[in-house]
Amino acid sequence: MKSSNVLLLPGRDDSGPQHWQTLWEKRHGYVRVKQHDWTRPLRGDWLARLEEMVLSRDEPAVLVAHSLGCILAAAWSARSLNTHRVKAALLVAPSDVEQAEVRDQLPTWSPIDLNALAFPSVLLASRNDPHCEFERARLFAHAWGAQFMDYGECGHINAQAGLASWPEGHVLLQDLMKD
Amino acid sequence: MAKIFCVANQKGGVGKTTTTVNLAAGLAKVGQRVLMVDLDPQGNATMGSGVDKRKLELTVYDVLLESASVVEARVKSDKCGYDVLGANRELAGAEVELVEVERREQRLKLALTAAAGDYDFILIDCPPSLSMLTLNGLCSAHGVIVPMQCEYFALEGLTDLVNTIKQVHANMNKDLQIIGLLRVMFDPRITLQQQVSDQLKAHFGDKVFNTVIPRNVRLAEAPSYGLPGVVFDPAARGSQGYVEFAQEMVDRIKKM
Repeated sequence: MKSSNVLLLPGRDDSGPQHWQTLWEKRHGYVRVKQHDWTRPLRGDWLARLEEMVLSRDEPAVLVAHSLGCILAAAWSARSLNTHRVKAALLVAPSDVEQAEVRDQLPTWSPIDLNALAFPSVLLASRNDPHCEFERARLFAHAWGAQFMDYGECGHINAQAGLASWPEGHVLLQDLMKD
Repeated sequence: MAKIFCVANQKGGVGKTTTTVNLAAGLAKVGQRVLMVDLDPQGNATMGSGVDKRKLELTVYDVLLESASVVEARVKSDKCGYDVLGANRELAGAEVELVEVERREQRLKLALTAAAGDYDFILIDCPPSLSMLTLNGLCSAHGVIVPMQCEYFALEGLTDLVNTIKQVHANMNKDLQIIGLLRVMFDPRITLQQQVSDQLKAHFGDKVFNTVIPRNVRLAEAPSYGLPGVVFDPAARGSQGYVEFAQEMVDRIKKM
C-alpha cells in the first residue's frame, strides 16, 4: 500500500522530533494527522480531523496510534460511518484518560469507548507505563478486540524509552499493511 | 416565546459573525432579552461576545449531544447584556458523532424550545458551509437574516442559500423564511455597491432591510477586544447602524 495511506495519530502535545512516529514519517513518508490544538485536545475536534484525513485517502488507511491517539481511534471507530475506510490499526501505549488527574484536564475524553473496533488491530502495552496501568491496557485490548502484546518494561513506548526509529514496531506495522 | 433567527450566508467573510454579535448587543440595548447561539466550531461569535471559548465547561456541542441543557450550558456576557451558548472546536465532532442519530437535524430546535420562554430573541450564528450544524440552525429558526456585501459575486452565493432555505422549508421546517437581506460593509461612494444595492431592492423589494450597515473600521477592530462594536464603541457609525437594525427587527417581528 502507499505510504500516504498510513496515518500517524500522535498523542497529547504531539510526537517530538525523536519520537518513532516522527522518524517513521520522515523515513517512510507516512502522514501525520495534524490537530488544531495539541496541548488542549478536544475530542470532538480530534474526531473531525481524523474523519477528514481518513476520507481524503485514496484507499483504506492503516492507523498508527500512540497514547491519546489510541483513545481517539477507539472513539472514532465507535462513531464514524466510514470505518470501512480503515484497514487496520497499530495501537501503542494507550493513555488512560479516565485516571482522576487526567480526567480533570481532559473531561470530554471520558468515558473511554469500549466497543470492539471495526477493523483488525494490535495493541502494545508496557508494564511500567506511567500513563496506563498494564491491566487497564489489557482491558482496552480485550474490549476493542485487539491482539494484545506484552511489551515488557518500556515506559510509555516513546522517545524517552530509547526506541529511536523502533524497527521492531515497524515490522508489526508492515504486517498490518499487507493485504 | 422567543423568535429564533439564523444569521446565514454560504459565502464566507460577509460579516455574518459581526452581524450576529452586534445585532445581539443592539437588541439588548433596546431592552430585548437575547440568547446568542454560536454554531460555528471556530467560536468567533463566542469570543466576540466577551466569552473565552477555551474556558467554557459546557458548549452547544454538549447540548447537541444531549449531555447538557441550554440552561446549563449558557453563560451570561455581562459586558454585552445577552446570554451566550458558546462553541469551540469540539463542536466539529458533532458532524461525526450525530451522523447515526435519528432526527439529528432537530436536536438544537428541541433544546432551544425548553429555554425559549426566557428570551425575546434567539440569534444563531451559522458556519458558512451547508453542514449538519447549519441544518440544525435552519431547522430551529423562524427565519433567516442574510448579511451581504453589495459586490458583484454576492448574488451568486445568495442563489445557493435561497435554494437551501427552500429545501429546508419544504422538508424540515415549514416556519422557515428569509426575514431579510442586510446590506453590510456598505460604502455609497463606490458606484458598483450602489448599483448592486439598487438591484437588490428591485429584485427582493421589502425583503431588503431599510437599515444599511456602513463600512466602519471600529466594527472591524472590536473583535480583537472581544466585544461587539455596539459595546466597544457605541458612538461609531457602524455600531449605530446595528442598533437601528435591532429596532427594525423588533418592529418587523411585530408583523410576523
